[in-house]
Amino acid sequence: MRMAEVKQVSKNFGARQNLVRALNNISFKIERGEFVGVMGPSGAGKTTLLNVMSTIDQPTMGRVYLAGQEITTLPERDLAEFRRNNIGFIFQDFNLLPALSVRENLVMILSMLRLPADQVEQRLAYFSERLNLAELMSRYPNELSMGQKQRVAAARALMTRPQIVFADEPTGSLDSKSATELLQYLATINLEDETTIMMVTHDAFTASYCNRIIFIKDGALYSEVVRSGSRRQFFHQIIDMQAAIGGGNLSDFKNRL
Amino acid sequence: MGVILVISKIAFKNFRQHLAGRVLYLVAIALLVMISYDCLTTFENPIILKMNRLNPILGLLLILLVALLVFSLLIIFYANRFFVYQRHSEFGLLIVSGLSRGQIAWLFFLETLLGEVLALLAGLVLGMLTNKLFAMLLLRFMGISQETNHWWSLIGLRDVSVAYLVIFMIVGVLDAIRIFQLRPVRLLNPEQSTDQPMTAPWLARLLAWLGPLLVVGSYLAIFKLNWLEPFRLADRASLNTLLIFMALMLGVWFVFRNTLPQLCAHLRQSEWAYRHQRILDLAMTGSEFRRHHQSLTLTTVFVTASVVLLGIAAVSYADNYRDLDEEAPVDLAVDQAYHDQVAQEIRGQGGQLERLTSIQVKAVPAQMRGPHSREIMGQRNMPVEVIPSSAYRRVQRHQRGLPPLILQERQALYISYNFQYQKLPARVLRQNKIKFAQPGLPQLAISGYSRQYPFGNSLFYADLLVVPDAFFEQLHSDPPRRLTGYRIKKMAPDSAFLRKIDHASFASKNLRKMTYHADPDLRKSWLKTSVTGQKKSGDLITYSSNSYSVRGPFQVMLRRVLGVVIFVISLLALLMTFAWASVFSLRQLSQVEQNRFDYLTMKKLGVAEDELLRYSDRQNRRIFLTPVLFGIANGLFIMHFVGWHLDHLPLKLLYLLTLVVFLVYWFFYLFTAYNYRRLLRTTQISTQRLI
Ligand SMILES: Nc1ncnc2c1ncn2[C@@H]1O[C@H](COP(=O)(O)OP(=O)(O)O)[C@@H](O)[C@H]1O
Ligand SMILES: [Mg+2]
Repeated sequence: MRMAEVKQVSKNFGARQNLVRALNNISFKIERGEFVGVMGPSGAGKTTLLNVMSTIDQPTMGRVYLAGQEITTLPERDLAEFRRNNIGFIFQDFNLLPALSVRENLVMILSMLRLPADQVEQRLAYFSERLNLAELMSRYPNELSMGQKQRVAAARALMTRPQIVFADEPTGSLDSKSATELLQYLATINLEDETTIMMVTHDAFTASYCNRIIFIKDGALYSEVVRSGSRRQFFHQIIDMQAAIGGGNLSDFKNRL
Repeated sequence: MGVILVISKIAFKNFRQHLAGRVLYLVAIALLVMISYDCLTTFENPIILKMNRLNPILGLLLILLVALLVFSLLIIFYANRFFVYQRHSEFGLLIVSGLSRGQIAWLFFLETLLGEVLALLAGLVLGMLTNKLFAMLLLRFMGISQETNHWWSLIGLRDVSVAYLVIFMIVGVLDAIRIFQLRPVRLLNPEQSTDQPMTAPWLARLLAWLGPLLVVGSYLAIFKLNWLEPFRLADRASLNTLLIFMALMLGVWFVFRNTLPQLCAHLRQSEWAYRHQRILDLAMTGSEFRRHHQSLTLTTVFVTASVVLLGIAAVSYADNYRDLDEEAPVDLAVDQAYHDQVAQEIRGQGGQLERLTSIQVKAVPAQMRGPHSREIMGQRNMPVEVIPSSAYRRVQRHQRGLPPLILQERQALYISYNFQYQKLPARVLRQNKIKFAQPGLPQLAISGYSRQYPFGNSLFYADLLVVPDAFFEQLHSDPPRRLTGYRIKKMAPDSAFLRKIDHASFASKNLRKMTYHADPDLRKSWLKTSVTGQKKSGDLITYSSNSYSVRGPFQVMLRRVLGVVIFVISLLALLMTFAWASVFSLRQLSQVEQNRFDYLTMKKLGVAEDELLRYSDRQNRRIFLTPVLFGIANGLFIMHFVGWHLDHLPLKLLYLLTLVVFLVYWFFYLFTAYNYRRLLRTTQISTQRLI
């Protein structure tokens, strides 16, 4: 079953002489349960693509379907509800609310979904075990390390049992150990809960956790790599493709694998 | 040299960039400057200088001026404090990119100075424009309707400019100190400096309870305080007052810093908060209260101060007019001994007298019997003056302040100006009876107590009884005295001639005197009225009273001083309200930048935009109105208490003025909420990464 579809989407910023074509007539599909990576050089339009697909931004042209619904025509009020019910976000800069404790950050959106209290507890227990959050529950975001924050952000994104999770450079500000941990969590959840994940990254190691990588360049689809063999193999395929696109970094793959 | 030029240029650009957001604050400063100038020029106003009894008026204006300057210093200091705070990250960047702190302080000083000087100039121009209005208003309040045209005062311009420039310098130095203390690490990582509760839970809980306890405690203490003692610095009582107010403010501080955030934290963990989706709402409100507890406390203090100031104005207005009514309720009241002399003098000056009524007064020894009688009378027995109830009713027709009289046979109304100071309940007072020295007379029960003497208290020795007519006939005394009340026509109440009569009425030779022999046995007590003085001896007490009194001059003097008091206080309170509300609104709007990020996060989580705006509105309302309502409650409580002690003063005027204070804050709340919404709306989700 199809989870997301992008049909001939273009997105322009600015006007006239300042016009930037961030996305240029791009089309692709994502099936349910996939773990898709989006890669490309800096400024290629990855973030813009993610924003347009996740209802955060409107495309200039084209259509986007999510969970069988065309989101490009939904009014703002319905979009808010749609986001609440179907989408989870994990961002590089965490997006936790500093006024709320970890527990409240996790629970807040469930209260808006009017989930019964016993189910909330159930989910809290499940994810705190999964993402190793048990001791953090009563702390506040500014008392957490980067890795802990990102785990909380991931838990928050997953708590609502979204159809699809969007992640923009989720490991961007993490050290390699916490990054690996987070990616393993995501991979497990993708496998066990069949949660669809779309993740933007510029890092081949991070990308190697996906099943499929979409490469974009100058706002258009450049190519696609699907994982078939081991992760190590997949990683090398990605590196090769990055080299072909130009602008990838080959620095540290030896010691991280 | 080059560096200074560059810095000045940046300063100018920064100033222009921030100008729009700070307009109301600068307007507030301009208003303060304006009133300061207006106030100073009054010292040179020929009409006011010509007036006699000048000192209290100019003294009050001086107090207003000093209060304005102090207040200006305070709000400029406070506003700059959060201007610095608002730009922490920018300063951090500047430090890292190699600017010295001195240069940053200089930059900041220049850009704030630009705005302040602009406000100063605008204020001076406004001052010159409004100066005439100010003087006219002041004169109107004093009850003088005369044209004034004095608007230009070089000294005024110079002094106000110098005073404000000094204030700007002082604040500039304080800002520089603040900037020198900034740590780049904290500036660039604001997350590290956020203020989450770090105290132990038990301590947090203790502090949360401390706030309301202190507030309630100081409320109770206010009740215990004797407010009628005049305030003196060395005095124990005023030291206590100071302590109580400090406790109250400390309590308010803890309420905002600990109690309300804790309450919010407690509520948001409840089932109720989850079900009604209030978790976020409560969390944001709680952290706002905590983050801004200082300015919230200050707001409460200022609102309390405004209400109390306005209350004092209203009370002194009402109280002094009542005093006037008690002392001299009719234009002229005169004893028959002086009647012809005074009447002739007035007629000689072209005045006309309209006779209102006359009453007969007898003086006899008497004694009060019953609970606390010694406290009430102050001695074993004393001379009382007595009038018949029919006389009281006749005077009542011309003197509106006199309370109604309901007398049964063997009852009397007891009139004394000492009752204000007695805290005995009326019920106890009424259990007392009056016994007369004259044998064969029955004791009289007391039907009621009053402070209002017919024709005013200055015409009587001490306490006065109103008795049934038949009883009055039975009293033997020296030849009864006859008092007549008049209305004066065709003569200005402040005329030099009436003032002369007023003065003369207090001259020793014109006073009426009486000697009283207070014997332990009431029957042996006696009194003797005579115009000449008598030799003093141990058991002889002398009493004296005016033989006549005029209302006019006293009224005019009172009205002038009162007019200035009310003018000064109201102006100060309203300016304070306006200025502080503008700073508060500025602070709240500077918050948008910080909260924007949170709002975007919530939007991503699927909170609809109109819901977010409703959140922000609700939050603004709480932040704005909680301290205002708290302050008004404090102020009204204090004033009620004062009023309660001052014989249930009419506080209608105070309510009206309080409403004005509230409306000013409400206006600023609406202004803030509107701009807050506007700023939030302009933030699009997709721009978040670019912020
Ligand atoms: N809000 C915006 N306004 C103007 N230009 C933008 C905006 N967002 C992105 N762009 C431009 O669009 C292009 C793609 O940006 P982005 O999607 O952020 O790239 P990346 O692949 O690095 O995430 C870039 O050239 C960027 O400058
Ligand atoms: Mg990007």
